[in-house]
Amino acid sequence: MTKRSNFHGGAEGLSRRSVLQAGAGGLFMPSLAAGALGAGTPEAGANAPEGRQLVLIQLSGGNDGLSTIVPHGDDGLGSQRKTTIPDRSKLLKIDDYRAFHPMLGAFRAEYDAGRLSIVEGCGYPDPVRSHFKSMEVWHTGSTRGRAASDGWIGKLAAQAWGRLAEPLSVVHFGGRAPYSVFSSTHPPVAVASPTAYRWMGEQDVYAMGGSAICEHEPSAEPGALAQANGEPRNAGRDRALQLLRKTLDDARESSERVRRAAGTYQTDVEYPTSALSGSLRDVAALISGGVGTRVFSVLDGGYDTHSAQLGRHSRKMSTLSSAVGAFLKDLRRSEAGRNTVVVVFSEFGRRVAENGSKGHDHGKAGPMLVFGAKVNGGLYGEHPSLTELDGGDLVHTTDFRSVYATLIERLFQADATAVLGGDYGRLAFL
Amino acid sequence: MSDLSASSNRPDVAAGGAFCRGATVWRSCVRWALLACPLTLAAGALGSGHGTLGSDEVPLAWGPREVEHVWNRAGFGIRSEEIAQWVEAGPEALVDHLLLPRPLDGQKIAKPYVYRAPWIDAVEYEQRTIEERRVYRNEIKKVHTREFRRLRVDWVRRMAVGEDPLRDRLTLFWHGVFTTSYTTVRDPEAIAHQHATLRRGALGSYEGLLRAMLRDPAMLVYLNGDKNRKGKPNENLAREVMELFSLGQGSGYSELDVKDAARALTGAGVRRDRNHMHYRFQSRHHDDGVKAILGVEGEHGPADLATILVAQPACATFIAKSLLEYLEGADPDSERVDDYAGKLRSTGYDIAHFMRTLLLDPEFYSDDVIGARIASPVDFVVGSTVRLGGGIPPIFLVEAAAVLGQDLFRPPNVKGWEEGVSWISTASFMQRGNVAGAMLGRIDRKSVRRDIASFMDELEEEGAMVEMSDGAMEAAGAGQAKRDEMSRLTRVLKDAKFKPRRAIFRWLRETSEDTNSAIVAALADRLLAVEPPAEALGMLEQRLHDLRLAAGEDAGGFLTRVKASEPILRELCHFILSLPEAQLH
Repeated sequence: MTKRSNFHGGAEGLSRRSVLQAGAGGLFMPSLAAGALGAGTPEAGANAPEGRQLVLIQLSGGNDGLSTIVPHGDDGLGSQRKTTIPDRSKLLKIDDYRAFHPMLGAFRAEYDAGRLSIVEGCGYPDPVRSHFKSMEVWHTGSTRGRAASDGWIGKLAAQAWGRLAEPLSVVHFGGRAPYSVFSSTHPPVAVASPTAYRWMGEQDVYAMGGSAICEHEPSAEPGALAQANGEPRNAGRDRALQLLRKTLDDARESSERVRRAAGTYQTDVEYPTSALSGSLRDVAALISGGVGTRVFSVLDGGYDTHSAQLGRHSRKMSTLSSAVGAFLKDLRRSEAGRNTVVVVFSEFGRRVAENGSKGHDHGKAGPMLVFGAKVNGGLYGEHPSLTELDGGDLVHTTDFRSVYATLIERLFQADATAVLGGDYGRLAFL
Repeated sequence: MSDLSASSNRPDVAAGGAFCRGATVWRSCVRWALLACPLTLAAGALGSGHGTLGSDEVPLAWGPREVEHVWNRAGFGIRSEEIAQWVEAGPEALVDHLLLPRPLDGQKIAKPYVYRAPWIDAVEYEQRTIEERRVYRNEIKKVHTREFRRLRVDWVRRMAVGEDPLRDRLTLFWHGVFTTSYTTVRDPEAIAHQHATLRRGALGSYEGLLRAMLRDPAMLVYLNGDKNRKGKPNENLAREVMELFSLGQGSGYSELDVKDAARALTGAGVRRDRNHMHYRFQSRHHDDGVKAILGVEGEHGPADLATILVAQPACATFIAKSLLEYLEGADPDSERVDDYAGKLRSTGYDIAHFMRTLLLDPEFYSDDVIGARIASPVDFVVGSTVRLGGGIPPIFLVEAAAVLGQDLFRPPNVKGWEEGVSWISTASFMQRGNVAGAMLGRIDRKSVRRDIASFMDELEEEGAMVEMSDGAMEAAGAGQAKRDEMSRLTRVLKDAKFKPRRAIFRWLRETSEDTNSAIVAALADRLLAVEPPAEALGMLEQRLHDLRLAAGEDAGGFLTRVKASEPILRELCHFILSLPEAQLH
């Protein structure tokens, strides 16, 4: 793919980064040594190309793929759906078979410009309809779910960036982090509101409560006494403390940089007012601020449309399209932004046939959308049949892990088989 | 909003207070005294996996650490002054106290919900002008907001006062199992009704709760049960009942079981009138055909579904495992789960019996369990309030827990809250420290504003914002204040007229010496729910030393100079509650 050769650390991104680093390390954070600001150090960049990042947008609840990319040319659609098909006259047609939902104007524009790849029929073998189990499969890349492994981003970080991983390699925006970013060795960095991302007190003192605490010689206090007596008490507490101290270290190291990047961010692009949009603007700020984040995670909920789907789903599509549209426009302003790939996915599609309450129950396969200035836009995979179903559900045509594998190898030059524990093939969108 | 004071209902503590008076780290001191002659307790049949088989007697070490552990997990924490009496009373007395049936009618904190919104009947509504309708709808919205707030405040107040701690602990557990969300149900009365059902049945039989939930209006609305009709099935409720309320995902039920369970639930819906949503079963919407659920064939209805589910071994296993995981904060081994599941089945799913067995099970006190559970946001804010001795407006606790990820009656999804380490991210970790700072009066409206202003100044001085006009700077500052949760939380405190009243030096009155190690030990003992590790005490001692030195207060008599000592002690307390140690219980 010739387009891939366009990936390189942009001059603009680098210069911005060095300015911000000088500020952060120089004046106000005397203890933040250069090592902590690893983004610019040679080791950190040795294995993975600079300035490339992945943004994962998860549509939680099970997005109805058939109402997102609508197979309007398939007779099977009208025969199984009465009230939930978006207004056919307003569909944004891609070809004789498929069309975008009427509210996805921005997606249509990206597609026309060759910056959107639609991977159809994504799923996995022997799918489950549980929200939670299915989400685990998507989050881990393993059909055994979290019992079997860390999140796939957590595994990617360990594999690609290993011990050099800095706290900001992976950042989740919003409340609680999804399992995809979990790693047994590294607590997730999650930012709810970037300018307020700090502990209000003296930072150097705060640091004393982290891993540095172990430098303190235990005095003759009761805990020490217990250990001296060979009593293994507090084993569980001490294991938990180890992780929590690492969290404190990461929090302290990342807080100043995140606040700075978000606080100084300026853009001409007007973002609509929605939670998703606000999070995406923050992502743009961090990308532009060059804090060294490789993977961003953002959630958008409300896709579990068991009833009255038409209106609800339409509103979700409208919010999604306007937020992602503004975000992509903003990204195109900078080299770092143009080196960003945005993936939209959901844990499953919905049942082909309507249920009794004008909605759709949990189903199986659905499309994944891959956006970016450097992706090879177009259609990938194969649209699942609307008639040859598995218990009323679409049969997947593409293993979603082939999308992960493509991203892992072609965006991050890491070993996809090692991260995913199997070979799932690659796609040509990158 | 009136302040609350913790522990009004606990037995008098004066006797226990004398137990180790004057000791610096008296909690540990008591423990060591007791270890010399450990209490022994019949652990019953559940001592399996630990100790020798065939021996019924497993010694249960019982000291301050164990007492605090029980209160942390089976309640919402305990004030340090109250620990000694329970050490003396012994484990069975404490378990009796927790399980003591308390008349629910007497617990007046949760007043019955009274619908106070205006009401216009549907026919008349149609005749109103658009403006009149708008006013009417807004009025209802206002009442709903107020009532929902009252519901949340009352519950958190109850937790902090601790009048029926184990019941509230388990109500919170069941709220996480039989989840509904106000966001979807949008009716405070229905949510309050479900809450009352869970609270009433929290220590009764799980089977009773399951049956009640299949008839619960909030549940039926939340999971579309009210839309599930003959010929037009909606699987949502049926699936979650099997996956999350009874059997657990992957326990062997099939998609066909889900489909037929949905058919069994057809017709179960709600009827709304002016004040209430009522359960209503409509035979004409019920599919009375033959269904096969988990191998049992019959013309099943909702009650039959419950009967079939509780008869499944997987059901007892699922509930036992969920309870053990929740209360111990660790993955229980499967042998132990099986033991407890067997107990559930043989007792008709008696939760009180389960709790008595667990709280007297030596494994509950193992080194892997004590002090190793990550406090949930509710545990953190309510527990900190209890340990601080109360005085924090409950509305602040509600809002702070929500900011930290646990918004009562609004869980993230039907699975409820994920417990354990997933509560912790870098953001929530720092925010917990800020919340503690606000509770101690170290962080208020003014200091948040100052923090934002100084941050903006820093950026400006460094030239990071050179292209920004003054107006843009101001707007950016205002925008930041708006998105800053601490801005909002400190405002909640201000609106509640919160004043951090308690002087910290009073906590130290019984500390005979004012050495740094004695002060640090006493504060850590009071503020933390776990035994502080030696390195933390060492570090805090160093910190106190530095603070005193910087203030020129390193001479003796420090605690008598309240004006000088109080801010230093307060700062130290804020730091203690911001530490990793404060996130465990």
